[in-house]
Amino acid sequence: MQKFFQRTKGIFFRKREAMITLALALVCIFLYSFFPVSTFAQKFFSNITFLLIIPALYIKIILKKRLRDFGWQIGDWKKGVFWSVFFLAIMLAVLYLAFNYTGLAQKYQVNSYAAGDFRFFIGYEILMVGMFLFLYESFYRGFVLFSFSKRTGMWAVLIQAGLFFAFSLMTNNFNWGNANFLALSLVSGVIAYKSRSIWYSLATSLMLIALMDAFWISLNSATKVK
Amino acid sequence: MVLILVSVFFNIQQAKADTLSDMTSGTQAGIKNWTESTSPTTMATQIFQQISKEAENRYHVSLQGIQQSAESMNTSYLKRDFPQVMLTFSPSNPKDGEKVTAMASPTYFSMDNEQLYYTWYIAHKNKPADSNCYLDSDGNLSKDADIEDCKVDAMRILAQGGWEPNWKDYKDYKDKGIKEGDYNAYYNLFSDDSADPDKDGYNATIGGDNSDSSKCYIADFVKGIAYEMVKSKTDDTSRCDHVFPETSISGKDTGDGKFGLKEEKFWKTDPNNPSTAGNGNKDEANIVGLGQMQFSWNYQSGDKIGVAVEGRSLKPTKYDNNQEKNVGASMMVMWALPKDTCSLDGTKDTKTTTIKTEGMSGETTDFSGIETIQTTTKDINDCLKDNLVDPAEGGQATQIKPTLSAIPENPMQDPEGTDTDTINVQASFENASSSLSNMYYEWKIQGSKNSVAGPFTDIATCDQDAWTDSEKPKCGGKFTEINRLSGNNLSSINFKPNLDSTDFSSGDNGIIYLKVHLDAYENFSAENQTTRVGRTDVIIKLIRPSVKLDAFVPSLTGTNLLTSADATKICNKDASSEIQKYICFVTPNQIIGARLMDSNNSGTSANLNYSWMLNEKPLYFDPAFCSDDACKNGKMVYFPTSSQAGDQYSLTLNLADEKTGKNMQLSKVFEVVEPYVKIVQNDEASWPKYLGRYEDLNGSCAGDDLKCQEKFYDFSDAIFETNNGNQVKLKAEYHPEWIKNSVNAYSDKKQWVLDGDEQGDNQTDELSFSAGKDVGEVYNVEFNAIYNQSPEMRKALNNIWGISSFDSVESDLSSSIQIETVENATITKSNEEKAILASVLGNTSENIIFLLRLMLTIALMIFVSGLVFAAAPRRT
Repeated sequence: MQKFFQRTKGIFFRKREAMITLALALVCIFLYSFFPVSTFAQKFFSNITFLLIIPALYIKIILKKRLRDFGWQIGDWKKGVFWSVFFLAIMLAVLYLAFNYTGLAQKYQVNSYAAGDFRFFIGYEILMVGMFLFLYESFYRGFVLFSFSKRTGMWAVLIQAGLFFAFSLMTNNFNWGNANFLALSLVSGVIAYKSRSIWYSLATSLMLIALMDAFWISLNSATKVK
Repeated sequence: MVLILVSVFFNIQQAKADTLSDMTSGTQAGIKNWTESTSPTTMATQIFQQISKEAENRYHVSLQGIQQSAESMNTSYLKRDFPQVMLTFSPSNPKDGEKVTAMASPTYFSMDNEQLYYTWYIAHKNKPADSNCYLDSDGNLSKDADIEDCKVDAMRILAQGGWEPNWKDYKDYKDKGIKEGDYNAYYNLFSDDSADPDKDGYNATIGGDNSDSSKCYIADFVKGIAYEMVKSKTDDTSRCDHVFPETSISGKDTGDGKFGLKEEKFWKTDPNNPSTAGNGNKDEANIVGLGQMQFSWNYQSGDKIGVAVEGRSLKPTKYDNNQEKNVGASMMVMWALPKDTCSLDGTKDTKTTTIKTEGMSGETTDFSGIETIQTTTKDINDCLKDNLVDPAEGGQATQIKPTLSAIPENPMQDPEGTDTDTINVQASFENASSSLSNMYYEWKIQGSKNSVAGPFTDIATCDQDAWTDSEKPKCGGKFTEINRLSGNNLSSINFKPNLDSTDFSSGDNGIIYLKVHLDAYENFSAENQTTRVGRTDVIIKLIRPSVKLDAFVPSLTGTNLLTSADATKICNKDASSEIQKYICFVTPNQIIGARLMDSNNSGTSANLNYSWMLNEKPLYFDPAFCSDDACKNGKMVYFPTSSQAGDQYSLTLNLADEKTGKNMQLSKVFEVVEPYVKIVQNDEASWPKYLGRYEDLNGSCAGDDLKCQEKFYDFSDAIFETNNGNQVKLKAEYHPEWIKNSVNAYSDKKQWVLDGDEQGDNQTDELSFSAGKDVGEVYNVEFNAIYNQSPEMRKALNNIWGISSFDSVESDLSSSIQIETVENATITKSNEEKAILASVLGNTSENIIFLLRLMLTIALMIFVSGLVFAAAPRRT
């Protein structure tokens, strides 16, 4: 028992930064989900706080590191563009098949206002969807992935994706309606890891979501015309 | 002469002998008088009497009758029916500005009413601008007034018929100087003064249209004599002039057959229309009043009106028709006046005339004689001012006639105060000119415990002060639910008697006669400040019964045998809900029993005759289906309710006391409701959630002080609140309340469910649990039960009334609530700091608190992270 304690203690002291970061990430995810809010505005500020502000403060105050080390940089743009285009093509093909040959189209949902008004659709995709994608990218890919990537390499992609999966499971969001985000958590992780930046993965995610929404809207419009 | 006397004497003696011999039926007094009389005159009288008596016997003629007839004939010539006219008005009580129609009803004329001349005249209270006809302060025609102006005022209205020139029809009327209302300018358009383009003249004959009489008379109704009108006392030549209105136009008499432009202008009639009034008469015929029995005008307070009706009467003149053939002397021409008043004092005289007529013997020679004729120099125009009539009957408003009706017909004051009838007394008026809401009312309630005849005394002091103080009992608390007793718009009052037992007559079923008295005032004429008043009362017999009607759900003593033993009482006099005190709630397809109970709650009273009514139809119950003696004697009844929730049953028991003869009526109202159950708090550990409040906008005290507004708080039935750690106690409340026993007796399912978990199998109506959840968490509580009747009762429903068992199946009762655990908001005085903090927090914006909480969380996380980092230094 004493050996086990000392061994554990040793691991902790050797990887204290990783452990504390992991603990903080878990606490942030937990509070992100369960921090009591009563209005949408409060929920919005809560999300920003736990997915952006606290990790940023932690990086700057506790870790005393630069934000660019956590993906807030241009990074390797060639790799970023390459992997973005590569995964975008794959994801579009996969999701196209999923739309046509699985029940995804029935489960998928798009804001009804956005479906009826193109200007609103653009604003919705960029501001609303883009805002939450940015928060996800900065937290999962920026904070979590780059906290572990130096020590674990590509495994960091799986760690941040695992956290997202766990978070989805915990909040009953592990379903077809969120299949694109679940898939994107892996793809975005690879892009961010390869490019050392969160912007390419953010752009890829945004484009993919926008295209999927547009595709779904066109699909449903066609159905209605018939 | 001597012979005669002898003969007479002989005859008398003979008659005496005959009489004495024949008068077997005569009176002893008569015989005595006869024999004792010696005076010849007396004897002659006696003979006449005897002859008369024989005549009476033979011809059945009464001497007294002949005497009375002769007496009547003596004065009958003075009782001739002279022409009269009666005026009626519509409306009978006109108001200022209202169009009034006066209708003349002439009688005792020998011609049609349409042939008579009606000369109307009208006098106003105030002097008109264009007329010299007005009344003085006593309501009589002013001494300065001109009666001709009065006639002109009236007949002009009649002739015009509302016509006036259509001013704008005349081209360039402005250029021609014609202004609207300028009659002079208008009539100047017609330059030929002699012209009568519309030929609307009318030649009036004396005594009415086409009359052949020309002797005019004035009747003295007091003496019953008609006086011929003569020129003067020195010149007894007959005089007969119309009373038509005179115009100021020289040489233009009214009724002369010519109606030229000057007269059209004077009367303001249409020169191009022969009948300006459009009534079929020519204009001049209207001005002489030919057949104008009606006259309409816009009434002004104080107006008086009169009419002189000229026509041929029923009374013949004394003139010889042959002699007077050319002037017409058959019937008197007379004027009927509304008041039959015409003083002839100082104007009377007589004159004689010689007449010739055929002899009574039928001989060809004429009989000549001298007739005396009463005459007068009076002008009928002088009588007109005394015959003015006020449409409002002398300016005095007639009384309005209110009537009162009271319901219910036989009100009752329940000794327990729950079944007391609210009495409504409603006033209505036959002849009110105002609406009910515009009248002023004064009500008074008195009482007498003796009889309908009184005496009535005040039984309660209804101070006016009490009406302004909502807390103060009205009428000393002896009448509740009472509104004000005086004021406008009080055409009905409601009151609920709450009298003392001593106010009623002694003995069982005490009686008091309530006399509700009303004084109603109507502002009849604002100008005259005339107020009409109407007074009436109604007497209401109020009974304070010593018995009461009891309703129950029966039980069974055998198959189809209903009994009141072990009955379930269904009317809750002590219910907190007001409505439950007056209405007994019953369930669908339920057998209801009713019986009379005395004050000791025992069956009663042998001296009463019973008559049951259900919804105003007689109610009988077959004694074969009940076991109680009271039921078999008709003193207890049963009836089933319908299956339709909302149906109401009014059960009435009419009682007649055989001893006292007093009648009484007791009633109960039942309403069918679907049974239900409701979860309520059983103590103060939990409470219904406060939702908000309603405020009475009127306030309960003077002024608009918001603090005076009565507040009605609204609490949720479905959401309760409690504090963490409380022992929450709930109970199931049944509606109607009495079904609780049936639920307990026949239900096999009564279950509390707390957050999805059934709470044991105990069949209780109460639940208790400890509220251990944190603030913000919720408990879901549910209660389920079944209400049904016993199978035997359902069979009885089917067997007695044919109600199918499918209609009397069980009812599911279910209720659920949520209980939120909330923060303990109790603030004690001993902890003022907490109170201040709570107050600050309570008034701080929710978003500010959220941001504060978020910032604290950030600071805490960063601080803890740093602390952990500091506590675990990197091992080299």
